[in-house]
Amino acid sequence: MVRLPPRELMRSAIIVVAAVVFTFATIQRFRWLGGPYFEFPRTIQDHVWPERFASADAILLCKRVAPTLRNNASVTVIQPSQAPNYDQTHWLTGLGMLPRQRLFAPNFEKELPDYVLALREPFEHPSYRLVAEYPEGRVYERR
Amino acid sequence: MTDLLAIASYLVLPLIGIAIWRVDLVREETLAVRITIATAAGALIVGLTMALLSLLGIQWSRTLLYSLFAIVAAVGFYVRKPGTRRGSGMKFNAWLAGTIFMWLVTLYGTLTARESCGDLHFTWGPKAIRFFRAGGIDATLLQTYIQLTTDYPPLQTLLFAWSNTWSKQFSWWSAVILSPLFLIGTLLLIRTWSGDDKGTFLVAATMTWTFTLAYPAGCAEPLLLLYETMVIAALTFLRDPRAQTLYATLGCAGAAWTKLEGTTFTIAVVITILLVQRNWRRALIVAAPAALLVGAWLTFVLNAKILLMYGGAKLPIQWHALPVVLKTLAKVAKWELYWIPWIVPAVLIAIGNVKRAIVPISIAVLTAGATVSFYLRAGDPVWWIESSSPRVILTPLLALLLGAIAAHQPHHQGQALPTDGEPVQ
Repeated sequence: MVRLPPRELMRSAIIVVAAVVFTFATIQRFRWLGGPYFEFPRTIQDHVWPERFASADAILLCKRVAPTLRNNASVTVIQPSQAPNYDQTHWLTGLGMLPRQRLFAPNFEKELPDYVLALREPFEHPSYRLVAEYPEGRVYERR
Repeated sequence: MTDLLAIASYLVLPLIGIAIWRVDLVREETLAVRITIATAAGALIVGLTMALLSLLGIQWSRTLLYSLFAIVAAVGFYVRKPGTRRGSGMKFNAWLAGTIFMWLVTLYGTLTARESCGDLHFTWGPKAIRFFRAGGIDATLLQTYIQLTTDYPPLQTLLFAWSNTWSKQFSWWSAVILSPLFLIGTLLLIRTWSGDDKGTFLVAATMTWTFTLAYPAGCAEPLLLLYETMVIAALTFLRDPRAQTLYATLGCAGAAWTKLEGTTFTIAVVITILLVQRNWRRALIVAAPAALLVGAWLTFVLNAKILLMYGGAKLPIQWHALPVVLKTLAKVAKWELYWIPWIVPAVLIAIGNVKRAIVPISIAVLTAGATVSFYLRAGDPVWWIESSSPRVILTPLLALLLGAIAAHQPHHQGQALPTDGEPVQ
């Protein structure tokens, strides 16, 4: 058996202890983020936080409605309860998920897009009517 | 099928960059390192070619890109020279098993969507998809949607657009899987060039933990870290001055075109080469391609009037924000583990030979300083630091970890060369 010099022994010990700490911390972190642990997630955002991010719903809703929206229609994606300071990332997600449509930042006082994809909660606006409902949200069309 | 095709588009990168195997210095590397180098070169070739086509007003199409890159790969395959050695001569051991285990944990975290970067689905992805559909770098898109961090260097976006040409729809999963794929390359370079399985294991373990907090999967950091590792590891562990220059040049060019921080990294490398290695010739050679690429990109940015993030360099430093910046950065750098990821390499450097680690230490200090300088230009930097710095500080952390390996390098293995002369004893 090879005897390591004391300094090398110390180095090995430090590295092993650090690696054990990192491994347990990682496992604890994954556990904190929640399960299921051995199931392929539906979106790339499914387990980034213990509570489900609305962005995961945005990805799924956009994927579902993409074939039903007119080409070149103007669209925005919002979570209605955040009004008037809507999360920018939702409509930007739509920008990638709906490449055949024109995506807009939500500003209903300035511009009324053809479609509003409302995540989770109903969207109440006199200029829009509900056209479809999905587990992740609803689709509204301009009247 | 979409995901498999998109992943395949990344797996052909080494074929596209295989011409680099003609270089004698690369031929002398192990097969694994040669594949990693060819991947890094291939990514740059794909990005540069697609950008050049846009510059010339030629629209991308599957036919055009496949033909072009098939020719590049065929020519590369023809001109390549066979490698002179197969393996590193390093045996399988418990440390290597640990490294593989750590990588598998990262792979698990990525595949279960626990490390996905938010910026992927609202910045990098949308930009790439829209570029793909426009058949080129779309200045109008960037002018319309300022939220897309419009002037960010284009390499990662172009690689995503390249993958979209393979799959009918953009594959979000292939984008996140790039993170563990590039991590393999990073670890391979460190292991082979340092010849230190123990040190590589420490890097793998540290990256596994910090990746869970930094959410790099789908962002540009995994590619950036690969290029940066190429630079730091070459300058630290390789004995051949020509090899140091070659890999530092390739790595800096790639880093500078991958992220804005790649430019500051290149500046840090050049300063280190000048001050620590005292080699102005190497500094010039390393800086030139990176400067050319950043210059070309900035010319486009200025012409298209989409200057945004680079414009931050002109903003005054707000010294009054220094305490807030340092406090917030220190909080993030804690990595929820009392700074252990930093303390461990620092202790290893302290009990080793500090002189041998001077190159990575210099790069770590300079890139950390650049990070502080970035955030000092923002009026209210807290949110910005908390959301972006876990990824940004991976660069100084990686440099420090490489320093921890270098500090324990035996005489006969590669070590830092402060000049082109004798190795530090």
